[in-house]
Amino acid sequence: MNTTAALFGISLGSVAIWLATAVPASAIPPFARKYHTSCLTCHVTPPKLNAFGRAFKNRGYRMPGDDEELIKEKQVPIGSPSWKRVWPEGTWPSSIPGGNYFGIDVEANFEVNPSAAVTNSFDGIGEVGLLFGGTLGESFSFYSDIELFENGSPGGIGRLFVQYSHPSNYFNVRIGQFEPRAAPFSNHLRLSRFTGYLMNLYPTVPAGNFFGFSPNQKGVEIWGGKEGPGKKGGLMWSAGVVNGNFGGAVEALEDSPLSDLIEELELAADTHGNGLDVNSEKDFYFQASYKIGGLGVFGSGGSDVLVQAKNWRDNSLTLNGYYYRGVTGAFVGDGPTEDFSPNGNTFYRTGVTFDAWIYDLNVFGGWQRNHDSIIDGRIYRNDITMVEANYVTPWPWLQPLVRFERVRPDFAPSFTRTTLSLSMMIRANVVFTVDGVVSGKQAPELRPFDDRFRMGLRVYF
Amino acid sequence: MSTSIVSPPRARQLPRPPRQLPLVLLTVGLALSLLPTSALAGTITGKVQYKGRPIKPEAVVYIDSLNKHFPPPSKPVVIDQVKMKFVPHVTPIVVGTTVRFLNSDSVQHNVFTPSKVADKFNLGTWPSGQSKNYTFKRPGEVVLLCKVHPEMEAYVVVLTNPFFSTTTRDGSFTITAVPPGTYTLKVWHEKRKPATQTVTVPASGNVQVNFNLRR
Repeated sequence: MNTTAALFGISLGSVAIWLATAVPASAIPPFARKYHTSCLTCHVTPPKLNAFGRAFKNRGYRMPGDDEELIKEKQVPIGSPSWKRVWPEGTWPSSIPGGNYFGIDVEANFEVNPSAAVTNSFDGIGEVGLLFGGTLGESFSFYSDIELFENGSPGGIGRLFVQYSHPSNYFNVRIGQFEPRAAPFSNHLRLSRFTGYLMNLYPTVPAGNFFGFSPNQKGVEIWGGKEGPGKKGGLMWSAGVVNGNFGGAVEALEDSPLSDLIEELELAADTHGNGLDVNSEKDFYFQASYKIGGLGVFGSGGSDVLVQAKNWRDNSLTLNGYYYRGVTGAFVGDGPTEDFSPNGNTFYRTGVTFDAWIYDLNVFGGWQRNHDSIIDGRIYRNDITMVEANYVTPWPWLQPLVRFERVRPDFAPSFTRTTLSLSMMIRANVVFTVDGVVSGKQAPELRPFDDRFRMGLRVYF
Repeated sequence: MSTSIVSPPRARQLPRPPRQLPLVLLTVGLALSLLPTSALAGTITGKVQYKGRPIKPEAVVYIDSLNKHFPPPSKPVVIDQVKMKFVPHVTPIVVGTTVRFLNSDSVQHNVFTPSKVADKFNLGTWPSGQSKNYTFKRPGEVVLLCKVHPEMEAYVVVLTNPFFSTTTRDGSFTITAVPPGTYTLKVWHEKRKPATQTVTVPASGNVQVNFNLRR
């Protein structure tokens, strides 16, 4: 069997099924409990972060300003702070969360697909996720989301990492399983849960490369930043080294027409590597962004009091550039000579993005070049562009969204996809959404690119 | 032309003091000098706050650098270890004061300090019911720790004079028997930046000074 042709001919839509699958959210109730504050302190609508929430995240999940004063559920000290004066003749002190640092998110959906055999269906409780996070002393923090249950099956660990934050914020480290900061836009923080960002996830099917920034990669990342003049905006940078294992598309496609191909890939990977980490090569990436105006990237210049009204306004423009390079396996050769090469594909993903806030309107987007180079001489390129607009209406619990994406591979027809969404915060932790996906004429005639509509309810507690 | 010599008007004369006045003045002055100084002393009161709320934990408000030696109290000051805590958490003392460290818990405790002004003393570990003493010979901040229970922490603030006060739960303080004069009033807190104000204490009565500490 010509593996490459099979991949090329069949997989596109099946992969996109995975692309449309809900991924764990990043709204995390334990932080609301820790500070006795509303989700809306940090979120425009969960899980989308406002500027303050981004600063909170950048500070290692600590509030800008006087974090200690804002904590309502006190940490349990592991050594009093004065043990710092004893070091190195004693152990540096720390602390662990004193309260409940777990949260749950539950999602239920009803989908309509006129082109499917079953045109409409409820998924019951389609997803249950376990979220936890907190700080350990002054410098360390942890974060995780675990899919307990998704689409009728047990899930797995989405992200799980430990992070060190230097007091200057110039240098921070996280290790574990995380979405790289080189991802053009965080799939976990997107407002519309119906469709993932194609820039993050779109594979190079004929190369058999299912790399995606999301949901996670395993490795180590260093990152840091410096606020701009007048403590406005500022620079953020990151660099990381990760395994570069296949993304979640592989697991999602196990029951698809690609299942045989995936099985062959897994078998080849087991023979040559460590599961889906097929080689000893490590992927690396780097990224830099600059925010012009708005709240400082670490929250300086903001209010000392937690604000929940009109706190999404942050007139600013952020420009970002990134580069990710990896080596993955590929089937090379043809017919009887076809073989799996663990280092058969050297690929990169590079792009530029922008993110602009103008009062109640957030417009962001960018361009990404996907480039895959197979050792047998094949080269595949794909340009993906995206622009999305979110608007906070005068009724701030009501937020419409429109996203336009264009995929232009040189190995398949170009196509567009438009996502429309309306989020309604029934409560700060209860969000009802109505989504619709409409694909252009050139889109593959496969289920994920059918015109589909969905209503969903998400609850966080 | 006739010239009349007009005598100047007779200058108004002050009433003559009684002859006994010098004796009266001498007697009053002598009596005043024998009065205790508190009778010629004021009180400094006020509040210490942080972000508009009473400072927590307690702060120490004190007069800085009086050029005078003040002897320490003859009786030791007591710091206890109760329910896995030093009690009190903050203890201001005059330099030269002896502190007696008790152990009223059912477990062993240790007292040591990494503070150089107290020579990084380590009193060792001792069981319930026993006590150990240490005399603080130099001014400064001394943090107390326990090697057995790392979460335990307390402070001794060694000062050069007895004019100090620890804040109460509502952040208020009172320093009594302060001789009249102008002084530098300071605030110490284990977490917040120190603060300073100048205060003029009257011969009697009260003067109010408030502080808003910064991070």
